[in-house]
Amino acid sequence: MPRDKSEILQGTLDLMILQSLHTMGPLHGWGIARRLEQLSGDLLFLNQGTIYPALVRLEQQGWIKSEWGVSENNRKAKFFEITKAGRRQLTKEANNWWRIAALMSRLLQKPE
Amino acid sequence: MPHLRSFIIRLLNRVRLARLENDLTEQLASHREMIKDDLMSRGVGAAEAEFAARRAVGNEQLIREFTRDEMLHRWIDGSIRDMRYAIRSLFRVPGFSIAVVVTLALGIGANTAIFSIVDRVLLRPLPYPDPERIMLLHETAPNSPNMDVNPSNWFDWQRDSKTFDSFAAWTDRVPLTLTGQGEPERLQTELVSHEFFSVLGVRPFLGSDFTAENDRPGTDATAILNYSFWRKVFGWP
Repeated sequence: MPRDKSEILQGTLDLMILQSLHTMGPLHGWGIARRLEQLSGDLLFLNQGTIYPALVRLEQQGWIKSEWGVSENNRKAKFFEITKAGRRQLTKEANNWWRIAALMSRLLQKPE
Repeated sequence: MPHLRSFIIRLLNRVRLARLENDLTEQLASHREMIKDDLMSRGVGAAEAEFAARRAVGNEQLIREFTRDEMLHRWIDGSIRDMRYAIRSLFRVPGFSIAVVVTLALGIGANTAIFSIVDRVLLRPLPYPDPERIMLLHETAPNSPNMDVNPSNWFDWQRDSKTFDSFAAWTDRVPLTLTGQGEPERLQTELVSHEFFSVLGVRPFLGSDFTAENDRPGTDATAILNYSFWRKVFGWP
């Protein structure tokens, strides 16, 4: 988890976590990590622990909330859930992302 | 408001850091256990599963470090460390430090004192209605810019001036002694003409202001007491 890497990923990681919680409902840390790996395939190398600072950040901003519970195989685990403010933030950030993505793909035309 | 919210939470986190870090440790442990359970249920050996779980989660020390960066205002920690260092350095050279502290103290003290005087004397308006219309007049002569006003001139000014609404005159402080009220007491007084308070635009709290009658030669002397003296000597609660 080198610092520069996590900083490059920071905004993206927050957005990915919010989106996962939005589509999947409440998840524990491992659940989130699995979901991200599942979606990204080999494209994203992620130390699963990387999501914990992001979870703290998101919760402090009021975009997710957490509660201790019991996992599907009876392990004590903390479950995270997206809040109303989190959904608003997700919409905002996703729109932002599409705007930038559209701009960048126009700018960097894919070489043949 | 997420930024304000997060700012305040970070301040609060300082006092519950141990609990938060404990919470994180538990989450990481449970995370690893779940990976391990998953692998072992698919036939991986315990030791191998343990190792794989650790590798998947990553370096716990680093994760804790980065999480703490999110939980706290690290610049506050930094400033506290800097301050401690500064204090230690000061104690290492006590003579110099004392000289610096004393210099600063005197400098700040002198500044404060001068500012309070300037503030009272120059910056704040006089505590009277229309303070900008109150003037202090002197007579002048070559070599003597601030002379007392000759009483006959003062009567002429009063009669002939078109510039001023009214005039009042007073003399320098005249010390008097109060007797007949227990301990004799030395009083600070001013002798003033009857217009004095009306020129300033204030009225006595109690009793009547001076009138032209009081200024006629041969009448009894009258006095107006200031509030604190009145309370002290005449026992007003």
